[in-house]
Amino acid sequence: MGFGNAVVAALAAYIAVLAVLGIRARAARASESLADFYLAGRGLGGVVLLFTLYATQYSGNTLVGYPGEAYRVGFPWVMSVGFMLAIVVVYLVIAPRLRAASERHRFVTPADWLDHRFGHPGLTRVTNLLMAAAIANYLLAQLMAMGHVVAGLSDGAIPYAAGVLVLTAAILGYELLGGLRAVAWTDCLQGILLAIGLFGLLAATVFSGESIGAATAWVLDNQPGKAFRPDAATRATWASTLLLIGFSGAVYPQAIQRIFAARSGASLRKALSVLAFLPFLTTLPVFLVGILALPRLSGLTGIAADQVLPALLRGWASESEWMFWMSILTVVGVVAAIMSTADSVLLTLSSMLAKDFVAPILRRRSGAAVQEARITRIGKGFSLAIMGVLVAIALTPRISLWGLLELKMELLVQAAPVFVLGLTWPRLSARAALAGVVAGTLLAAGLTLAGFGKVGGIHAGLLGALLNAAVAVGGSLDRRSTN
Amino acid sequence: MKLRRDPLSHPWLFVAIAALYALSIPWWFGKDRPSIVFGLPSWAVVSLVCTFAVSCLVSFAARRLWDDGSD
Repeated sequence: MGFGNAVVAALAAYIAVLAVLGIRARAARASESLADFYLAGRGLGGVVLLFTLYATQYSGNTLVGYPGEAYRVGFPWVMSVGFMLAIVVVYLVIAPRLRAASERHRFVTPADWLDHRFGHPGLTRVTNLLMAAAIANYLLAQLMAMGHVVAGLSDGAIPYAAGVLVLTAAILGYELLGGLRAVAWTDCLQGILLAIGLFGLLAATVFSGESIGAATAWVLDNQPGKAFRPDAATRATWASTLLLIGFSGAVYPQAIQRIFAARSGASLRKALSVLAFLPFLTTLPVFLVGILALPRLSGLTGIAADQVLPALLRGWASESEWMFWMSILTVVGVVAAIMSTADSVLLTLSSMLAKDFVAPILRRRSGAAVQEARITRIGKGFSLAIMGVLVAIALTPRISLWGLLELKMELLVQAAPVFVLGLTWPRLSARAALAGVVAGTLLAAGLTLAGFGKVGGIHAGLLGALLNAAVAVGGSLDRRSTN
Repeated sequence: MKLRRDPLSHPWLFVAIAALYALSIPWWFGKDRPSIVFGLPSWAVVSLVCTFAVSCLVSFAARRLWDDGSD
């Protein structure tokens, strides 16, 4: 069987298992309430919670983009292990208090906490819009990545458009059936595939006699700039990336919803205590794969950084039967990683649109509370509509949204001061927090769109977040802005 | 449910994490050719060791410094 055909068969089997899990999740539902559909009935135990946090946090970009970055940047990309861990460090700051408040007040979306903490509709709306815009961008990136990865890794056996359409349909299928329960269960499968694929790949490279020491020696001799101590600008970017990814990754709305969905504080604590080590089992092997590619692919001219993993996989697959099947497993793991991020983002986005934006309008119009089952149905409608629009964009040739996609982290990190300061500093006022978000967003977006993505190695988003926090703190200390 | 213990009430934890992260960035390393340790440049190994220490601290804090009364 050729590599492309084997990939098609493996993906077909994988999608069939996803469908079964979706049907079983549907059967396990207790009601049509928002908490049941969007938070799996607040019943996620430690193991499922760990896998769903893991699969959501590590996207296709981690597996496809990061080996390419390691290939391009060299050893300084070891920073990726630290910045994925930084997200868990920030969880340690916000999760205990957020979890305690959600047990008392039964939050469903991040906006519920914003309303509870600040009681300021303007701040809730602006922060929510910021988060929704950031994750909608993120979702589009995942859909496009699904098409490119499947087309690239199947040797063209599955065209780009077919990859986008089939995988989107699969996600919609199990998600509409089982909500977060289906997403979390499929995340378990996706997380396991990811881990097996990565370990298999690393074991395969070790057994094939490729030595990381030999690769390092080759890089020191032939591309010393990638192995000597990084320069001052790279070190500044390293520090900036730790802060940017740590703070923005922790306030992803889908991550916050998982804090609400935990069965208990103990489940969450256990999940986070293991999650803290997973960068060493995921980001580190991926980094090493990129380093191993440096001598191996150095003869290839014009290789784009994001083609490193596909090129390595095809090369390894031709070496032995063991390597062939490990490479196939890795391909499925990569697709699983993208799908597990996309499904979580989609579910959260639809819950925010239905519950935070549409339900208040319906409530104002009818003058009465809207039934939760109706909001859940509206949310499902949003899931279909969101995917319809994003698939249309993803399939439109010559449309380039990659510039906008770069804004994702820069936008999202502007929500971090609201959550971090709001949870840790009782004096933070709503008006000052809102002024901070607006100022930080304008600075970050302005700098990025003007072509200054980094200033002196520091990300525009981080500069915006620093201004954001300064305005929020300064404004809160000024009595005139106190609510 | 009320928080009985919160990692935030242990400032030493965050000081230690910040210090380890600061050490994980190789500003302190010389400009010379690095030696190879465990197959990697020595500064990358030190960086990974510091990051692993942060993992241990975070895991410890999640299990021991955070108590909301649930088991």
